[in-house]
Amino acid sequence: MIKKEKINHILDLAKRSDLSSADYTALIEALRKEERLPTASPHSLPGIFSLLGGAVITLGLVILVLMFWRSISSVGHLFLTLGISVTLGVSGVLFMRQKLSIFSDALLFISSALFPFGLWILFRDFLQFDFFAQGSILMPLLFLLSFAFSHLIFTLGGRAFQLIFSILYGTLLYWSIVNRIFNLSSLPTLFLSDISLLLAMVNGASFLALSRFLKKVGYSASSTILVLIGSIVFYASFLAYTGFDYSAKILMEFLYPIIVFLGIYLSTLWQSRVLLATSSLFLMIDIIKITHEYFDIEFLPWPLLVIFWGIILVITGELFRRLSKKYFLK
Amino acid sequence: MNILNSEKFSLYIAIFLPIFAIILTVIILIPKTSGTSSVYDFVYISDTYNVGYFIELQNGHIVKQPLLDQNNRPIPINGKATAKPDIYHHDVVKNESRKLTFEEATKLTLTEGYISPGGYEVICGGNSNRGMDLFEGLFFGGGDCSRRFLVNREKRASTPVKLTLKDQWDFRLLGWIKR
Repeated sequence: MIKKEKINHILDLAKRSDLSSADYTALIEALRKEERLPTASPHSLPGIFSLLGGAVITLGLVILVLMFWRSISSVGHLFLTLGISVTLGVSGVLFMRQKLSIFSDALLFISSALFPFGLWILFRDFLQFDFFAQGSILMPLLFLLSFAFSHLIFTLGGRAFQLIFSILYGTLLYWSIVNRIFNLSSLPTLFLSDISLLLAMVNGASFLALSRFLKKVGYSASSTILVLIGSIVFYASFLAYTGFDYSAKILMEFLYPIIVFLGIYLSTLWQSRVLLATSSLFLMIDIIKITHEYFDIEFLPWPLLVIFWGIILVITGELFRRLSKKYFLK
Repeated sequence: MNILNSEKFSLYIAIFLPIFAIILTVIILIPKTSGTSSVYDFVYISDTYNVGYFIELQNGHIVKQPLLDQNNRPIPINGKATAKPDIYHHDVVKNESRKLTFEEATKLTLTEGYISPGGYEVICGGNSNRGMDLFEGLFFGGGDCSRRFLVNREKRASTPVKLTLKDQWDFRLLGWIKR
């Protein structure tokens, strides 16, 4: 509605010939955003069926092709993966331009899902690259190209679900680069697990930041999913980083609840119930973890511990309810 | 323009945070030099099977134990015997293994145990070179023994060890010897 009001305002100004170049830019921008709004919302039944259809078609095709995979030549392999991916990507975008989003969603879904497999076959069978060679950067390259492809399709098509692929391949790119660095470092996994957890926290924080951007530009559903995944990844890796026994990272044990409360505060600022829910959940988990670590079973017998946890559960639930009622708009 | 209030600020954070983390990881991890302060070398055996005896450490000395069944009778070699087991002395400073004859090995006095008196141990790396292991090291220790490391958990020190083995899974530590 706000966009329409803006457009109407600019049209009024246009009638009075009182327009600056900034007004024209605003008008074009507003129209572009209007255009990007999905014609069939992913929440609508046809939209959901279209996406589900895309997934089922992909699954069926994959099973069918795998049954005959060995009898297909390598050119056939490339055609079935990369060829189909690119073809469907182009046709999906063309359908989208014709406002036939029901077809294009399924096509773009299959296209983005198949692309990395196509690249894998291209690299391995045609260019004879060895993914497992020492210092090979093929895996990051594969995910970089997949990210670029899915993002291109998203830019051309503008469909929110397409973002999932961009984010998925971007995340895989991040972890494949991390894997390469770990490999070059000549350190055993034993010493890398802590760094992995810190990197997972960065992953979660990055998702949260991205969710803010997506919300601001109008992709609310994708933003909510990202908040959910990002906060779980962030809190879970932080919790794992603090350790699960009498830990030497006592500073982290102190820092964790502060971070969780910051998360709760942030949830009211962002008006995000999902963030409030995950923060409350992880606060609860932390209290159970701390009691388990620091209270001796003889000091506090387990039935009492269960009662204590129950009380904590009730208190946190009530905290969630009250915050939700007091600070959230609806 | 106030960048903090611009709608793209959170996008920049989302993009640059992982990039910054990756750069930081490179700076922290890559310059780790190899080398160890362990004052103990170790002796290991490249195990082979079906040879009718077993090599182990008894009271600090390497001995050859015949394989016996429940009635204390030697177990006959079934089929073709594999090559005899090789015993190696690994110099941790030079990071190279020297093959010992059985007679040489029996003269050594070794300290028993998976962990040396200095707190070092030989572990499987897990940090393999397979590009698919994206989340490797996140929650589990590695089980990949194609690379092994001499590590000290207390000092958080680690160095890769180059072993002379045909199959990395045949490695068995016999004991530690002071240099």
